[in-house]
Amino acid sequence: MAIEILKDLRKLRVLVVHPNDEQGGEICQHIERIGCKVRMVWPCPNDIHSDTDVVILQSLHEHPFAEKPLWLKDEKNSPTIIAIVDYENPTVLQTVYEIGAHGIINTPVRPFGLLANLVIARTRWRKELALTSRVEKLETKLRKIHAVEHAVAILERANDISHEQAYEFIRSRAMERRLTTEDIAQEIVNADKTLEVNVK
Amino acid sequence: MIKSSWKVGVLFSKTGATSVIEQTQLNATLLAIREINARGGVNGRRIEPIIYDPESNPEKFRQLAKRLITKDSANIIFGCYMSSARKAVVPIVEDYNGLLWYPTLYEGFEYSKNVIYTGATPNQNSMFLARYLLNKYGNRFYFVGSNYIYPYESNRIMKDMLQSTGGKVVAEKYLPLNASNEDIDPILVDILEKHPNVIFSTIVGAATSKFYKSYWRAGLQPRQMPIASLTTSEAEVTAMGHEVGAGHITAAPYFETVDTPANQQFVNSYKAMFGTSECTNACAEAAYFQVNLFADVLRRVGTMDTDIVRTATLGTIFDAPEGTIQIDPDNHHTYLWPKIGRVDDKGKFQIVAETDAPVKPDPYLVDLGSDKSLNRMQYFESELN
Repeated sequence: MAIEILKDLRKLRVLVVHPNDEQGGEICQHIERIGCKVRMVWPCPNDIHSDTDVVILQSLHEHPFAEKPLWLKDEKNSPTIIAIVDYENPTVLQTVYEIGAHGIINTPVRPFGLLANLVIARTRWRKELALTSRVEKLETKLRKIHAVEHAVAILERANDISHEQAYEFIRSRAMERRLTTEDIAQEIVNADKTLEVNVK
Repeated sequence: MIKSSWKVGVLFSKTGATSVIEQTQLNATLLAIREINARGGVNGRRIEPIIYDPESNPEKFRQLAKRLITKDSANIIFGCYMSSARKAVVPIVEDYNGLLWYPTLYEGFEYSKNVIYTGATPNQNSMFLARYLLNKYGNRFYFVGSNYIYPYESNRIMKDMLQSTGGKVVAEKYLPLNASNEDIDPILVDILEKHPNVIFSTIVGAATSKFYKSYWRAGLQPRQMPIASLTTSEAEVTAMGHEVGAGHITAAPYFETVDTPANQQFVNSYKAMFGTSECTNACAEAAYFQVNLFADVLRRVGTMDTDIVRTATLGTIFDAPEGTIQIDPDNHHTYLWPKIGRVDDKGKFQIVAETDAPVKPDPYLVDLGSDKSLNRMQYFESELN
């Protein structure tokens, strides 16, 4: 809910990557007015402090990244990113796309709109994070299911038993050794690979 | 040689839904200008107000603000009551680099470098009102308001504060700006049925006295179930009559009954100029002190240049009728003195609680329920019974 995100905003640490000029100062002041903790840095650092929640990033067209800074490469621990754009040309938009910005601020920067942008960027970032973690879990689960199916097929073929018997074998081994069915399945698959190599 | 005058724009509605309160802001503005001119003006030059009537209509506000800056060369504007009017004027003062002085409480969540906000933000009124009502009357609230942004946001804040203390909103109703008795009566019926501890009203303008009168006619008792408001000021109580207003509660940084030398002088001059039956109120007081504060700044800088005036205004301390106030350099709003007033039998607000010092404006404060400054409110002894 928006109100929860708004309450959360007062705890945020915001890093403004911007030259120390009038516009940079105004952005920082307004972020402070909203109630966040703010720090400004320039040029764009390769590493940022791990407790940074939001990065507001300026002047993409003047300083295209020859190489992405490290903190942008680490997608799992990436902060919320808001890009400041002063052009809407394809080069700038490509950079915005590449850094995976959750929000955009246009220049000249006006205080009005900054809060709405922070809220929406934070919302997108949260959803993205939740989705990424869910996809990861599903992928792992899928890999495991695949391994069990593979192991069942191997056992059926090698011992001439039914699908159910093969599965029951894996399950009971898992119980005995206090492991998961996926672990036992993986062992069977690995062993099968080893034997295959030996025979040939 | 006759020196030219300092031209300033004045935008308060003499007609339309909120003209009653805006007329008092206009009066207070003109009173301040007259007093300054009677003392010889600012640096030997008179302040000359250019006054238009925006008719409580945001689009008129926008057009007239543009005209003031581009045609009349009045880049300094005193004006606006409803948030919708201010929202219409802000883009104009931003585009043409004018400076709007806004003397009205509002819902917060705004900052423009082209605005000086001298009315209360929610952390200077709503927050204290909620705490007071919960302690004194109970936790079942009935919300009724005019249908626009200020009531929505005020209600959201109140709801949020109630939720954090176990309070309950039994209904939330909205009336048209120019509501009639046919709109109001069904709400009274509903109130009688639900019987809340407090009616929180964010009705503004002419509908205010209609609502209080309906309550009065229904024979309800303010001691058990008061109407609490942020916008029902002396102006509205005068309009509805003191027997109708008696017992109801308003939170504001100023009431006519404030006991300071600066207020004595303000109230006396106001009545001398506009009639003894006329009353001052928080919106008029802000309108009055902001012109005086501006004149002080103008005296120091000797120019109407927006950037120079703004810079000199920020941080300025001023002896206002409500007490010593200061323009907050961080957010362009004003340190004010939160108070709670209850209308007595003569229609005067008796101050039943107030803070011991001015409270910093925090227009972006979301979590009002746990704010430390809540503990700064002091209740008068009779209130504890």
